[in-house]
Amino acid sequence: MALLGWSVIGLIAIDVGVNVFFSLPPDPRVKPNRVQRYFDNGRSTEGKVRYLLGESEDAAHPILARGWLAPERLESEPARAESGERRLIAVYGMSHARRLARAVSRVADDVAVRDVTAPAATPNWSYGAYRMDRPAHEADAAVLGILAYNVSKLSTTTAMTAYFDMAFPYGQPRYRVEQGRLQETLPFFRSADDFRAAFFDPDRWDQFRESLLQHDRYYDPFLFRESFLDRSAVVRALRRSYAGRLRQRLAATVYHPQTGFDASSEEIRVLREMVSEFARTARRDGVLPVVFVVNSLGFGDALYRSLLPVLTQLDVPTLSSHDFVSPNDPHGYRSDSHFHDATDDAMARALLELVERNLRIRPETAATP
Amino acid sequence: MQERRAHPDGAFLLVRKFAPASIGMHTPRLVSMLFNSLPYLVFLASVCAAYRVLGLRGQNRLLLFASYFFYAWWDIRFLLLIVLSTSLDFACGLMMERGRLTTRERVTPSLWAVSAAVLCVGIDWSAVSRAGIDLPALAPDAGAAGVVAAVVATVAVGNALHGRVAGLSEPRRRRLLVTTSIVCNLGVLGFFKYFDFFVGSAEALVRELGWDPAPLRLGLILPVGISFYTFQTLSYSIDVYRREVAPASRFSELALYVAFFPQLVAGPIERAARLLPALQQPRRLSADQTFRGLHQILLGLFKKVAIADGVAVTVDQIFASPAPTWIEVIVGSALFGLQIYCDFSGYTDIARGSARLLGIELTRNFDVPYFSRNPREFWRRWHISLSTWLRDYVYIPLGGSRYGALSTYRNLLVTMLLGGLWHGAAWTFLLWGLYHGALLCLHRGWQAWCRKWKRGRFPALPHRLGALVSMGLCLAATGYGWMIFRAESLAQVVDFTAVLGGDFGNLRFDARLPRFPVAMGLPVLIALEVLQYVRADAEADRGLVLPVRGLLYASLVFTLLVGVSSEPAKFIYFAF
Repeated sequence: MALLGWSVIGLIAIDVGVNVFFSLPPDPRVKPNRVQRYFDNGRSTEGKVRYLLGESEDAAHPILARGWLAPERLESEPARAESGERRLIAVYGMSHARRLARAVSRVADDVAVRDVTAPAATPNWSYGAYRMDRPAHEADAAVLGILAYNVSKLSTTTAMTAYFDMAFPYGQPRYRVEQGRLQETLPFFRSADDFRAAFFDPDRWDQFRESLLQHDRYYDPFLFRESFLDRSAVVRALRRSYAGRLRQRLAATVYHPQTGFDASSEEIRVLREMVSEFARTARRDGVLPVVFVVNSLGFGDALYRSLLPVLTQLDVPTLSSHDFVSPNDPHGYRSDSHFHDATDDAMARALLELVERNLRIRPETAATP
Repeated sequence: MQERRAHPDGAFLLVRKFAPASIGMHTPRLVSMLFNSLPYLVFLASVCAAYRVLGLRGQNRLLLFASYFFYAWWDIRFLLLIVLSTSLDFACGLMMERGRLTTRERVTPSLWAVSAAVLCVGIDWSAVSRAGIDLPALAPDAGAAGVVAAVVATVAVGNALHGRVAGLSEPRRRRLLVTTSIVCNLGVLGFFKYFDFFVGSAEALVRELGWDPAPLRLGLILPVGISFYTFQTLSYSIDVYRREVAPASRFSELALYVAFFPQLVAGPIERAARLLPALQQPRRLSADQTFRGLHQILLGLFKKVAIADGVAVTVDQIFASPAPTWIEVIVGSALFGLQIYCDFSGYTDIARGSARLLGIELTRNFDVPYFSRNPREFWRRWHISLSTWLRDYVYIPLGGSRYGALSTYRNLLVTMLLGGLWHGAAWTFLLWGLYHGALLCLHRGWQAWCRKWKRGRFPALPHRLGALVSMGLCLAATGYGWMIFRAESLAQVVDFTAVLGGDFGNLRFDARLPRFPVAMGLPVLIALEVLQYVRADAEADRGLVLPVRGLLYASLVFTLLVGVSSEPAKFIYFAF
């Protein structure tokens, strides 16, 4: 019993020690170090959001403003190729897509890029952004970025549930396939201001939680809801572990290292339908659709193979990262899981060539219904 | 473990090196009752609770039921192999000792074998689901019915031959029975574990010669733990033959010896002389033993979850990489050495801890092996139950070191080659065994040379410095061995060795770093191992003052909680 008592005292001492020595900086705009982030990682999502919101609107972390699906956010992006520019390419997707967009600007001065991306965007965010942005530009080509790692997160409605580590509050539509067509459920919040107001309004926040419970497969009250237990480093460690296991379990229902993506899963069915609707609608608008497949490290070319039937059937121009970097070679990836600049540049050149070749062969103005 | 396969498109697929391939029936349960899983902890707690209110006979029945349930959770079909092996060895053991069996002694194993065939294979349990029972689907298919019929026929033939075998002279009878047991047990092991490997290798060879043979590989599933329990049953038969152990008089006792769940799927490989008496006598369950059991389970979980799983991501990535750098090969091999040690010794700790909760002591399988100063010492400290098994049943019967240097070297090489093959059906395991055999020969030769020539000619290093240098050299040699062991193919061994020589000093490291719990847990692990080594006591931490012990256990618990977030990897030795 004495030993048990000492062990409990030891655990309390570790808990207090972690909170004293590795607590986050009081100002959310100050970047915490890796150890601080690690030990705070198990804080509930609401606890993380409260921290990021800061004392006042001015003191909030800038990340709160990122990723909202609002047309006004894109007003500064080019809507058509200006004089001296031969093409406009619209890019939708996650950070890899953003890096590709920047690489295009690097390698071709005469190509304008409409950058519609968000950090850690899931395919449903990217497709939602594409749909929202369709009437707002006259691009020659639209690129839809899909990251293998994110495919299992197609059944989320906000980045807060998709990623436990990072509390990006922006929302995304949820898609389901019903009677062979995509059905869309819009995100609960559409702007950072709306989100902030609701966070401090218990009734609206309860409605938000209720909508998550209904529409978001990754929502888990133990991970999401704030409580006094957030103050304990031991509970945070436990919650972090639980979050990891839960995500592994959910991801395993969609992808398995031996067999690849499960074609019968809801996520893959939605993704295939998403890609085909993207191709059909883009062509209808006179825009060349291009799918950018990002094969995450360790995923092989499973995503590419999973999408291949629909890409082939609709003859969709595709840029897949496995043609440039082996998805099993860590040298091809940076420590933050992005590709090296040289790879991005190579993919950008390949994208431009792909766009030119397809526009030459089949001008998209002759749109297919 | 993962291997790369070229995809027709030039990309790569990831597949598990030991991935089970279906043989047409349902595949084994994916959510295994792993020692680091919640189902196992619930299972263990339930067994312990029931165990404490029962008498000896009741306890043994409970343990046998629990052990079979534990194995059947993975795949009930392969439970048949365990029961068949037990039935055969039970009958052979008693007949070696006494000749003729009583009716009861013949009927019991016969009934067990036939019942197991019907229950494990004759019923298609995949028809039972949460939704209910699909009665027509419970009926066996033709293959399963054939297996049941074959078991019934074999039992009938065995019973028919009983009188004739019992009538043989004792030496002939004993030889025949021990040979039968060895051939049958090794036959099953060889079929499930090595058939596809040797047939596949032969096919590849024939193809190289320009022929195109029809594929003969069966895509067999490797039954979990088959190498462990087969070696255990073999040691029982051989020990009975050698009269080193009395045969079990109760079927249930032998069955429990073979299937005792804490050590069923990955050892330690127990000897009958040690475990059988423990199962036959009443156990004392003291608070101290319970505490020691829990302590050992905690330590095992810490090693497995915080360390082994934490480095797995780095190791997997490096060994999947088509062109690793020099430092990546070094780090990958070293981390795999850490991973396999923590994985396997962690498993053993949980096994021993679980057995302790039931009042049973299992063999110590690891004794701080990375503090070894030479390969010989390493094999006295690493997987002790396997190395002593190979010593007692292979090396010594081959002649050991009794017939001169050359014969000793040959025996060492053969023993280690078999040890390598025991780990798995792959050329890399064979090469690893051969490599360790060569290390043992080199060390033996070096010792002989030192005794003969070196004495007094060169100044010796100070004792402690010499020990440290020896440990470092042994660690490096073992690390290279781990690279061979972990490699996906012989070609990768060649590639990695070329990198070690040709890319010397390239410090570019792009693989993912081990997870954070490793950084937290490694200092604790090293401190514990140093303490064990210095005090030559596996439970040296029990000698620490109470507050320090409390803090130590608290840090183990905290690191464990943090480590649970890592991707859980299956125990490496389950594949053997």
